[in-house]
Amino acid sequence: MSERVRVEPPQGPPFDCELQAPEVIIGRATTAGVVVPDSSMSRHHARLFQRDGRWWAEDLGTTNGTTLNDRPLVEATALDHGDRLRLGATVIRFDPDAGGATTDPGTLNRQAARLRTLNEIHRALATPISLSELLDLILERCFEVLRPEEGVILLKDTSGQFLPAATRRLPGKTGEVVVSRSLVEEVAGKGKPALVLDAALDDRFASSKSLIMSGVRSVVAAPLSDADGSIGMIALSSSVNVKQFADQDLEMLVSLASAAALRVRNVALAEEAAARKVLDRELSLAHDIQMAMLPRQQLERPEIDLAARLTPARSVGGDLYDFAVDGDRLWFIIADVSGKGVAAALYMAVAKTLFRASVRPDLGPADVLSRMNRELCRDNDQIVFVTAAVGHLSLTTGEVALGDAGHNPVLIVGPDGRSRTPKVPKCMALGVVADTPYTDGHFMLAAGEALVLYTDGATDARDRGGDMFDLDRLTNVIERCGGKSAEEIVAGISDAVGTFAAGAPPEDDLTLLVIRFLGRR
Amino acid sequence: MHISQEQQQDVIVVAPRGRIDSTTSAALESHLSQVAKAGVPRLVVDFSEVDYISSAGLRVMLTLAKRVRDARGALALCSLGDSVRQVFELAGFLPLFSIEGTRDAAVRMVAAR
Repeated sequence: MSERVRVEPPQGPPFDCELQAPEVIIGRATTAGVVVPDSSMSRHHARLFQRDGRWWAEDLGTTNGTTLNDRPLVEATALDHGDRLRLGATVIRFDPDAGGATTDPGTLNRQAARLRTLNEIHRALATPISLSELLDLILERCFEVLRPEEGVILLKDTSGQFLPAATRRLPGKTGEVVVSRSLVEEVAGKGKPALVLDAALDDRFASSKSLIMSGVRSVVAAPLSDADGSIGMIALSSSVNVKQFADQDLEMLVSLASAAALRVRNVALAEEAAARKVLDRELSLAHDIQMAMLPRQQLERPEIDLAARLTPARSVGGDLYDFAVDGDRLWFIIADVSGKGVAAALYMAVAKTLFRASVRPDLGPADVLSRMNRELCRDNDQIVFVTAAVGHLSLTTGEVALGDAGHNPVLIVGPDGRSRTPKVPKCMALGVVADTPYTDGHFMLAAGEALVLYTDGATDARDRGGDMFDLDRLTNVIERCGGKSAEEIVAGISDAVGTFAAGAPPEDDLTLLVIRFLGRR
Repeated sequence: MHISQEQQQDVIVVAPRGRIDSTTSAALESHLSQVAKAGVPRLVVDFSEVDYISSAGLRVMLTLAKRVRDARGALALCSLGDSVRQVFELAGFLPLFSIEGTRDAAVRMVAAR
């Protein structure tokens, strides 16, 4: 028992469909039996099926629902001739001609031809291809059906601007395909199709001098939009003396654009997912490099109690700490590389290698920073910069020399819980200006005092409300840790930052290095 | 990220709003690189609506400064709040930028160069 339905989509003229299978799904997905370019419709919206010699309709649990003769369709219901279903913004009439009304054959022929074209496009668009291939294919079909001189597809980029993603023109035509800002605003921005018969005379665009091209042109443009809004537009143009687009061209382009939009969105999402996978691999590689760089051995010296911890964030990988004993001195570094991924991790590796190579009795922290800076400035097109604090502590006297290359100020906490910030000259972060000078600051650690170094993962950590942890909170925590072991201080800060952020994912690496001077033993 | 832009004399003033961090810096970077494409860019970045800038944001500003310098253009920053100024200061970057208190002063300074 074959029946017919008439589909009246929100845009474009209605078309008829023969129900040939015992069950037919209606929706906007290309896998549906009856595909309707209606963004308010679900992918698989409703099911028409045969039971006991009748046709029944059933909503497939959709967001926008289905109505039957303006009443919600809550369960499968048998259909009568002339019944009216509404799916999203589309009306479906069940066997509309049973009453004897007929459509004029000219309209039917045009609709049939159009339906054929649309179905061909659907099929063509269903093959798996890349986004740029898909856009070329869409333009190719537009040229076959609508015969413009040139065409362009604009897509919304991450910053929300509509930029040309594909263009096509007849052989022999040259020059850039330009779309005026007002046309983009009207079509892509507001989601309104536009038919501009004469660019120079149309009111809406009268003020803009360049429409799709210079000169008087006929332009037809349709938004690429789906349920989530506008993702771009297609515009086709011709000189008026070659071709003038008409209403049915606009209708055709609108139908074609709505079919294309779903496919563009899907392919773009798939490519995004693939890119994310590459990024994930890159990040995990960066993480491995970072972890391999950290010192693996504990420091066993009676004069010193040292503890460190690096908690990596997912998206930003670039913190570093290291320490080494050279004669009477404990050398140390804490650093934060701007940027992320493998590039940042490689800069970190360079920074660490340079630090290790520069730890010599005849050099001071400022010399080490100068050497690191010169090396990091070399071929630094990406402008990756590194903030670092490098210093050495005398294991006999407690004297510290410290160089500050754009890093957060270090803190000192005594056994009584009092904190202070030693005066250290502020110098520029590494990797920016090759000949910038570095200067050391000097101060003493008394027995029992702890030097606390950290990266901005501590001070810039945010709570759910967006407040930052900040230097004041950090100072408070440290003051409560007076007299405690280095490990306890590290844990105290780490816990306080974690509690403050209350489960919000860290945006930056958090690195802590605490060196407590115990005095000469 | 919301970025507004206007032209004063022959100077383009770009005013980002909110936080400039690793999430939003890419949008700002692409906006600024478009603006800096002009033959000889003359730019002011107004920070009056910026609450926070991270190291990713500093990188965007360094990249912009380099572009403008290479093209022999002029750049000034203006209206930095205390916390934003502190981030530039901590990294030791204050000497790298012309920084003015108000937008008008920054536009005057860029226009004069």
